[in-house]
Parts: sequence; C-alpha cells; structure tokens
Amino acid sequence: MLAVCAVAVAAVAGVTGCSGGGGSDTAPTAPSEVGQSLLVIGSGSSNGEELGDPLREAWPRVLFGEMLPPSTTLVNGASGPSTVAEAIVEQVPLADELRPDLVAVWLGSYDLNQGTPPEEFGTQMRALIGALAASGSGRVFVADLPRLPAYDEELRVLYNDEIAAAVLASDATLVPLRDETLAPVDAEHDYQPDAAGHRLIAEAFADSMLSR
Amino acid sequence: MADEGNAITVRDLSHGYETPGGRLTVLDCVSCDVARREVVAVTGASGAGKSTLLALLGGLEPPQSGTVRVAGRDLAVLSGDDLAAYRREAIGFVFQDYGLLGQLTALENVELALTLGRVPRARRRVRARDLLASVGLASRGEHRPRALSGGENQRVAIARALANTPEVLLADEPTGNLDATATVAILDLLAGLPREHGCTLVVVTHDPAVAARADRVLALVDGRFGP
Amino acid sequence: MTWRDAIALAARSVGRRLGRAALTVLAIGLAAALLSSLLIASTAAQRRVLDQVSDGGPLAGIQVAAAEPDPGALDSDNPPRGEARAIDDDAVRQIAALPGVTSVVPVVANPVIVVPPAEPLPGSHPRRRDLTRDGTLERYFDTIVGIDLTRAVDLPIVIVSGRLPATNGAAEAAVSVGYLRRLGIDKQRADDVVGTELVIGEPRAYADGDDVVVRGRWVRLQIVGVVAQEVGTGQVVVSLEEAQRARAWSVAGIEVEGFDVPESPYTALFVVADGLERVPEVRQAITDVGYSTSAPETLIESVQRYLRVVEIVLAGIGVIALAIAALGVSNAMLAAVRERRREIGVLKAVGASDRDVRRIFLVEAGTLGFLGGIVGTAVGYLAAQALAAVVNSYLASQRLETVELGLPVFLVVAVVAGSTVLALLAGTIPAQRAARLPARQAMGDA
Repeated sequence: MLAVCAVAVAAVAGVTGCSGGGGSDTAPTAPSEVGQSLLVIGSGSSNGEELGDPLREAWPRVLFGEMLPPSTTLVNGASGPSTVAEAIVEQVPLADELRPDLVAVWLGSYDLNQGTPPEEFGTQMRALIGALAASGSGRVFVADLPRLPAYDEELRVLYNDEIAAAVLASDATLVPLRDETLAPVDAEHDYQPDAAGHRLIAEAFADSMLSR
Repeated sequence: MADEGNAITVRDLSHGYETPGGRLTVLDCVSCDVARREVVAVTGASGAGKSTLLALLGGLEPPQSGTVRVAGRDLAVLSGDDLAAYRREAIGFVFQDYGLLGQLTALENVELALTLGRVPRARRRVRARDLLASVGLASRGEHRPRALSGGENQRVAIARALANTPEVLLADEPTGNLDATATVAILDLLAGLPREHGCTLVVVTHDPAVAARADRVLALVDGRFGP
Repeated sequence: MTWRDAIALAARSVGRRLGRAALTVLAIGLAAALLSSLLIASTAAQRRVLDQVSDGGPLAGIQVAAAEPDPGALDSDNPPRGEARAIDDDAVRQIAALPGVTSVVPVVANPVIVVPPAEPLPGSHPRRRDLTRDGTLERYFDTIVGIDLTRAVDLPIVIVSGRLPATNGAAEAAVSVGYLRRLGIDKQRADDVVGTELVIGEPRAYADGDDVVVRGRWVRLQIVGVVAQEVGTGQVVVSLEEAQRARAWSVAGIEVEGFDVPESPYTALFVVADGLERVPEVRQAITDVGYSTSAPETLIESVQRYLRVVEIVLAGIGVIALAIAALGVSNAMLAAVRERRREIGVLKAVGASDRDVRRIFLVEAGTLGFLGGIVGTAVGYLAAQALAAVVNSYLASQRLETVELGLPVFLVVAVVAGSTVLALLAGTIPAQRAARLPARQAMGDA
C-alpha cells in the first residue's frame, strides 16, 4: 500500500505543481470571497516535469499559488506527452464536468516533437478552443510557444501563427510567449523549460487573466 | 372579695431560697393591700426581702406559698407565657440601674415592651415618642443609653415601663444611682404617674427621702412587715 | 415578638459586639471559604476531566459510524463495527427524529495531499523525514474533516489557538497539533501557524491503460486556528461544504488502493443525547436503525463516580471546618448568654417570653452564620480564582486549555444556607439556655 501511496503522491504532485512559496507571506483570504476555478490544459511541461520541485515550480502552481486570488481552486488536467489531439480526448472532458471560470491552455510542445503539420495543429487547436467554449467554461487563455533550444524555430513560428488564428476566431485570449526565450531545465531535457521559464509563463498568464 | 378596689393583694406570702447553709426564708407570711393609684414605698434594710417582694409582685418568679393578686390576676396560678404576658400587659418595671439595652436607642428601648406585645411598628413608634416627650426627652430619642445621663436614662426606663399602660409600676431603688438633683426630678416624675397615667406605684427604697414621697410606707424587717 | 423584630434586635446585638462577631463571622467565613473554594475547584476539575474524557465535546455525545452494528457488542464503549453502511440524508433525518436526540452533526472526511508552506517557519524544527532534500517542507497524505461549523459546539473539539473556520464558505481551515508536529512547532507556539496557508490536493484517480493517473483539485486554505486533538483521523478541519466538494471530486474517480474515498455521503455522525443517562437508550435506538455507535459513556460514568468520591471527600473537609466554626459560634453564643444574663432578665421583665428570648438568640446565631457564609463564599471564590490564575498560567504555558471557574448560584445558596443552618444548630443550646434563665435575673443575681 505504501508503494501505491507513493505513486499516487508522485502522480498528483506531477499533475499539478507547487504551492506558493511564502506561506504566511501570501495574500490574506478575503473572508467572503467567492472562489473562482482554474483548469489547466497542457502536456508534461505543465506538470513541471524534470523540475527539481514541480510542486513549487511548475507554472500552474506558481499562477495558482502566488498570482491568483487565494480562493481560487485549481485542477490541472495536463498529463504526460499530450498533443492537442490527445488533450481534446483526455482533458477537455474535465471542462465539461467542472465548467471552470478560467481555462489556461499551453500545448504544442509534443506536436512539435512529433512533427504535426501546422495546418493540422491549427485545426486541432481550433477544435480544442471550440470544445472548451462549448463546455460552458468561462474565459479561455491560450499561450503560444516561446523559444526553446529543442524547438524547430521555423515550425514554432508557424504553430504560433496557427494558435493566433485559432484564438482570433474565438472568444479566447492569446497569452503571448513567442518573443520569450526560455532556458531548458537541462541539456538532456531541452523540451522542458527551467523554473525561471515556468515563472515567466505563469506571469504571462497572470498578466492576461488579471488585465481583463 | 378582699381585694376589691385594690391593685395589689398579698396574703400569707412566704418565700425563701435554698442555700448551702440551709433554707433561707426571705418573706415570712407577709400580707398587704395596695389600693389603685396609691403610691407605696417598701423600705427595709439590705436582705429584708424588699427586692424579692418586688420580684414576686412583678411575676419575675412565682410565689412559693400564699396568695399574690395583682391587677386582678392570681400570680400563683400563672406560669410561663401567661406570666410573660402579665409582665408585658399589667406591670412596668423601673430598675436601679435602668435596665436599658445598650444596643438600642432611647426610642427603641421604649418601643421594646410594645415590640414584645407585637404592636405594629408605626403605632409603637408614635407611642414611644409621646412617652419620651412626657418624660421630657423628646429630643433624645435617637441617643443610646451611654450618651445619656443617669437621670435621663432613668426617665427613658420610666417611659418604657409606661409603654403598655400598666396598672402597676414597680420601681426598685429608682434613684439609687442618681445625684440629688436627678433624684428630685425622678421622684417628681414618679409621684405624678398615678395621677397622670392612672397606675399604682410600688417603690422599693432604703432612702427615707424617697419613702417620704409615698402615700404609705411598708417597712420590711426580717421578712415581715413592721408596725 | 415577630421574626422581623427579632432579626432587627439580633442585628443590633451583633453590631454592638462587633469584635467578637467579626471573629466568629471570620471563623465561619474561613470554613465556608474552604468549603466553597474546594467545591468550586472540584467542580472545575470535574468539568475539565470530563472534557478530557469527551475531548471537549458534550458528555452525552455518540459517534455513529458508516457501518452496521456488530451483533453482540452493544454494551461496549467502542464496539467492533459490522459491514459498511452508507449514512445518507435519510439516515440523518431518521436518527435526528429519535427520542432523546438533541443534535445530529454530520461529518465528512476525504483523503487529501497536504502541501504545507515551502519554507519551515522561523524557529521551527521539523523532523528530517518531513523535509525534502532541498530543506523545504514535504507534502504528505492526510484526511480533511468537514463539519457543520455552525454546530461545532456540539463536537469534541478544543481550540488551542485562533478559531474554527468561518461558516460563510471562506477558504479557511483549522489544523490539529499533529500538523504542528509536522511543521516542527511546539504546541506552545500554535499562534505561529495561524495566518499561514496550506494547500490541499483532493485526489481523483483515472485509469490510463494499465496505469493509474491521479489528478488533484487544489485548494488554498488559510489556517485560522489550531485544535487540540486530531479530528477523527485528520489534521485539517474544514467546512462541511468544502469536504463535500472534495468528496464529490474524489468519488468520481476509480477506486484505488491507498485512496480511501468514503462511499458514504457522510463519513460519520456525531449525535448528542439529551443527557448522559439517555445515551444507552439513544445508542440502542441508533443500533436499531442499523448503525454502529460508540460513546465513552462507561468511562464517563466511572470517572464521574470517582470524581463524586473526590467531591465528597473535599466537601467533607469543608464541612468539618464548618462544624469546627459552628463550635466557635456555639462558644461565642454561650459567652454572650453568660454576659447578657441581666439583659435577658430585663427582656423578660418587660414581657419577653422564653420563646422570644430563644428566637432572639437563634436569630443572632443565624445572622453570624449567614454573614459568615456570604463572606466565605466571596473569599472562597476569590481564593479559587487566585488558584485558577496560577494553574491557568501553567496551562497556558503548556498550550493546554485553561480552566474557567464559575460561581454557580446553587453553590452560593448551598454554602450560605449551610453556614446559616449550622450556626442555627450551634446556637440552639445557647439560645435554650438563654430562654431558661429566670426573669429574676433582671434584678441581679438572687
């Protein structure tokens, strides 16, 4: 049973990320604040894979724990090597169930890795955003892809164009990362941004969410 | 009846006490009558039986033999509560040392006899004030005995003795503790009581001056009335 | 003479011999103080001990488990449970309607992953096993316990610091001292965690081929209080609604060994019976409805019996002291009778009956006892408060719940009435002696 527990802890920790670092330094809870819900849709990167302390460094946990109001609840649907197509099947149903107030989407890394054609990627992305809109979820925020050493730069630009077009065709909001250059967590895992990169992604989402 | 018209009738009264040396006869077959409103002085040397006679007349103890009738009551047949009622209703006592309760004011001391008779508070207060006024102490009602002179204390005692409108007033050496001036004043007061209050007065004294103010003097010698 | 006049006269007499009266009152007062302080302290101690036994909840509290009763184990405080049986709203209503039930508080528990603040609090000393390799605080499995916070008073919860979560749905939690241990904080410093935040992840398991994937629903909770004991098995107390949301999330997943998501809508019920004596009857009725119960009734009864003995012994000490003081009253009254023979004679000469004299002296004795009782109760209360201040400073330093000393009306009445009655008894013989004095005393000794 201990082993099962350990696996489960790792799984849950991996799925989500970390708490806000400060503990007592965090913003006080407004006693009667009505909590909003946040659903994250993403791939393994959004789980903080390969980070030293995913519970505290993955961008969804930084966003949830440090940047959004304390009454926010978080469900991180991101799982492993998810392409957009896989996310539609595995993660979008969570939006149907939860009808979250906020949905944060960061996908594309594994499509890049698998070489999904940009047009197909764009189609899938439009389908995903459309499914989210149909789920009754609140605001949808979609981040594009920053520079990472492992990314094919030409394909990244094309993917970002597809993302921008898909967002433009919907009520979603684009979270721009295209001009950012992130460092990989290490040479062996050059598809995964480091902790600073995660924080930058979180800040970009927070800027978009809080500015609207 | 032999006592018709008399406040006090005493017949063949004997009384004594058991002592370590044998029985001591204090009163030996004493008889006398005292008319209503009469002032009688009982004189005699110490131990002649004056105070015992007064105690028996006042119902402070029951007579051992003979008859004592006071205010129409045969004291030989009274006991306990009846005797207390007799003292409360028919008798007023004036003691040599006043017999006032030090914890009470003059007014309350006068009220005491009425209190024991369950007279309502308002009524007894009015009566006590009237009586204090009648003995010239209207302004001293709230004083305690220790704040009053001997003569004043004795006047309070007289007022208390009169509270229940007794038929008989018994005074035991009433001027024994007083100076000459106070003695005269108290004697004047006592002498006027039968006239003013309609009571009979029996004064026990060894003071010839006091005896001289009485209508009649009964001299006790060795437990008997002398000639 | 009326009682009222006798009381007025007695009051004057007591006032006249103030020194002696004061000493007599003091003697009774000290005895009454001893008695009342012992009773106050013993009552407080009894309450404290019973609080400990019942974990701060009502003595007549009964825990109802989401399980059938085990046949043949009814007379035990903690009988073994039978097969699992869900507690739903119908069951709650059914149990609430049972005769002798005054309150039913549902409890919902759900497994969670607790993520404490990353950095250990200043001055804390977490155990090595509770830290990550980086020195940050490790997350761990635990259970959140949701209760109806509007009825927390009916639950066995003792607050060490802060308060329980608000009832308005705010994201707040109270933690147990077990959480403090995890953070490496002494119980004495419970205040330090109040105002900090913890994050809980409510798990849901998914099948992913042959693997199991677990997703968390994460909630940030501000810690608003610390409670003395674990609530059930959990270290985190939240509102019933939060626990129900957690359960709704978790129960929608697949069953995985290790995540014990309760199948029952309510994990347990806390039922309060209308008095300890009705606990067996209510337990039997709940058993008849079909649920397993437990209650520390046997323990409480034996503790109460033991405490009753202690109370009797302490009261005995106080009563002995009062009896000695009563002898003092008797002595003082006999002296008063001796001194006041003349006064008694005068009273009789002016018409007091034996009954009047007896009444005056009895009232005097009673007055001394009454005053002594009042003085004693006041002094006893102050003495008990002083003692409580010392005890409480120690308890507070140990982060234990402090003792609150009350002055029950029945105690005041009992001590004052007891002192008065004892003094009246003590004054009987002197009063009788005074009543029997011959009236001739008015004229001096014959």
